[in-house]
Amino acid sequence: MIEAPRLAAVDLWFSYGEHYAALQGADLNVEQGEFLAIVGQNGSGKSTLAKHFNGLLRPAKGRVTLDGLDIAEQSTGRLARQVGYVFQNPDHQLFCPTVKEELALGPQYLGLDPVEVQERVESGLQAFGLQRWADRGSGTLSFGLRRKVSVAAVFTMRPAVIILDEPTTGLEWGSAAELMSHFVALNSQGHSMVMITHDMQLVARYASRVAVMSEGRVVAQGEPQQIFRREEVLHAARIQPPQIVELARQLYAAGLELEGLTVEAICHDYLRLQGAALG
Amino acid sequence: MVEFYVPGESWIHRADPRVKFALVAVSIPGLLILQHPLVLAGALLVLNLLYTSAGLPATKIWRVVRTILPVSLLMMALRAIFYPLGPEVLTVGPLHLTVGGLAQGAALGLRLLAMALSIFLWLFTTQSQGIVRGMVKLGLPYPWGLSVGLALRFIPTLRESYETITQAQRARGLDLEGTGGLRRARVLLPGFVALMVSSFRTSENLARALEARAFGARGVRRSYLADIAFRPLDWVYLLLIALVAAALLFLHFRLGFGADPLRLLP
Repeated sequence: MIEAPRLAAVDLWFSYGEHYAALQGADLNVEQGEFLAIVGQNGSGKSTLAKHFNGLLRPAKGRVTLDGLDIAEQSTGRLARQVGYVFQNPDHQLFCPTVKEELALGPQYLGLDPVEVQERVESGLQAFGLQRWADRGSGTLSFGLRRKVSVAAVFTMRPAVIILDEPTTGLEWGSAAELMSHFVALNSQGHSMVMITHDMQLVARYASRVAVMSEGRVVAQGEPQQIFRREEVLHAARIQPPQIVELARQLYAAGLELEGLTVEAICHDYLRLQGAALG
Repeated sequence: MVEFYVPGESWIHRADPRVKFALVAVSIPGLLILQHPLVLAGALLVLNLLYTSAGLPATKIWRVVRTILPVSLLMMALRAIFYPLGPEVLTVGPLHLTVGGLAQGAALGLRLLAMALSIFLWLFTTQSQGIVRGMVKLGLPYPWGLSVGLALRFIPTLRESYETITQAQRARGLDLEGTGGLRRARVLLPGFVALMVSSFRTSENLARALEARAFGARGVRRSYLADIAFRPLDWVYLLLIALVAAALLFLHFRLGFGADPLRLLP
């Protein structure tokens, strides 16, 4: 079981160039072993905030702590041992001639001995079902596979916290569901997962907590259940909950106690209510 | 930054792209034949005035200078060290610094800066459509002109991609702290490979996107939203450029102005 550190961002301010203040006092914690989703409009500061957790960006004001220690003094290269980042575009993070070498690159940068590197590569290939493509060039693979390779390449570094920047964008339902099942498995091993996404279905189904960003700040956070009920938040951040959640919410307002966020959970609640009524 | 163009309404902005291109086309060989550092410093001063007159912020000049300066200084140093000429001024160990070497080095460094600034004056004050239109009206086939425009348009994109890619490398545990020179270049190599791959992908997609938007359609002549045309004033600018060029040529080849790195006039 992995013991993930606790990450905390306190009052972060950050600007790209002179004109655009991407973060304006953002606060967010990543608790040990949680599955946190960050949602919000394009340009609300999700990626910018997430890139502060491994020091890719450094705040103009505010600080980030890892288990209570300020990370300002630590390089991204060092932080990578604990905080992994899967970029939005897999092509930006695939460097090597073959998939195998791609998975080995991170562990090699970390200075692990060749035997350990080999072990991690094998386990990475196996965990993500990439054995068939081990010797292929990652550039020649399909988008879905390139995405998987980019996740596996971070997985082999065994970071306790894994940040996923829109991991399912451009994937069809089957591939997305498969990828998500890998994340669930990692989460159950103790990895903290931080997922930036626009897909509220994913939030409803997988996240244990969700943070809503708007104009460079975290404007609300909590269990998806609670957040999806807060109309003013949804409206301000232009978020539309999944239809099934919206249906349950309206029925809840009408007096039916439907609490779930997924079709299965709501069906379960409904049948329970009906059973009680027939009693 | 999406492109080099800095929006503005100055006389240089409004001048026909071809006039500005003529200025570049004349100034580059001009800068190449002039050898005296003071003359080249004068050219820098003139360029500086033009930048100010175009209303370009000092940060833009500084950005160009900052990019070119390291190369410029390096060339200056190499020239001064390896091509001794004339009386010695200073000897440090095996290094013999000479008046001629220093002057030639200074000329080389200043020339490079001036060339960059003259090209960027054109790029900063001309929209890429203008550059392409200008090139095409000068007889360049349209696809070539488009290529030039696209190349310029994609330089900043390329730089952005490169930044993301090095970020991705650092996120994978690459520690760049305290590494320099060759070692740094070696560890960054995978980043360049990724940049190439992603650039090829971009260019392939771009080609398809262009075709999907009827690039190269047969039997039609493309039209233009904003065509360029010479105004009387542009002819005046062109005449002025020609006059200055002619004067320089005369002074240089007849009187030897700026021909020697050490003497202004023989």
